[in-house]
Amino acid sequence: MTHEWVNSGFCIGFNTDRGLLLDLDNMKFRKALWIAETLLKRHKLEGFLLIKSSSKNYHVVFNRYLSWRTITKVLFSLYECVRWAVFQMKEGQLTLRISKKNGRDKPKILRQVGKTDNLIKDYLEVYEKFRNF
Amino acid sequence: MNMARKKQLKVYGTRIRGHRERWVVKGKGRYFWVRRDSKGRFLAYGKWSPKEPLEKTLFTETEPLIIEYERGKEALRKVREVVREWEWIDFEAES
Repeated sequence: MTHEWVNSGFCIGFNTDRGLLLDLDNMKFRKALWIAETLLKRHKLEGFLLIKSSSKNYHVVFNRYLSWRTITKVLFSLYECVRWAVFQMKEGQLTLRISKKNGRDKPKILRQVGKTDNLIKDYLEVYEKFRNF
Repeated sequence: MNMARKKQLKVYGTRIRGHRERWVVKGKGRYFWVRRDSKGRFLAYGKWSPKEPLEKTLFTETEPLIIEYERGKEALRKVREVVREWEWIDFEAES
């Protein structure tokens, strides 16, 4: 898969190195949900937000704050997350888009599970503020 | 555990760089440049990105801008300021 440049205007991303964000590309809703639930249970991540970024592409935001070491461990513990993990490790932080991109709509929240008082709260704060971007 | 909470946003895209340089732009395919001879025969190709000039006089950069904030309102204000500072461009990279 070729990297897709932002070729129309600008894009805004939610950035963190203190919590777990996932970008799950090219998969069905059920698979994305399974991944989120599996990681939630296995690593006690308190809660998650499942977001649809475009057709067959999903984002997941987990509630618990984690160290970078733990984030790395969690990301590499599941085969489906490895590709995303490798690219994000190069950056040293995790980023998810919260605005429109190349004519595609901004991500839509599909499901909220468990607690939402830490990283999810931070995410929702900017998600709501940048509603018109 | 009391971890310092660093809240950040990233603004990214292709924006115009201030200075002008001389640069020869090769034909672009979808994220690849393609060089052909005068008869249109294929000579070479390489990876292309908007980090390279879009035209001989149009230079761009794609390095993301990091914005630190504490509250949502502040984030919105800072992003608006940063976005206004730069000239963002649209481009096509279709083969």
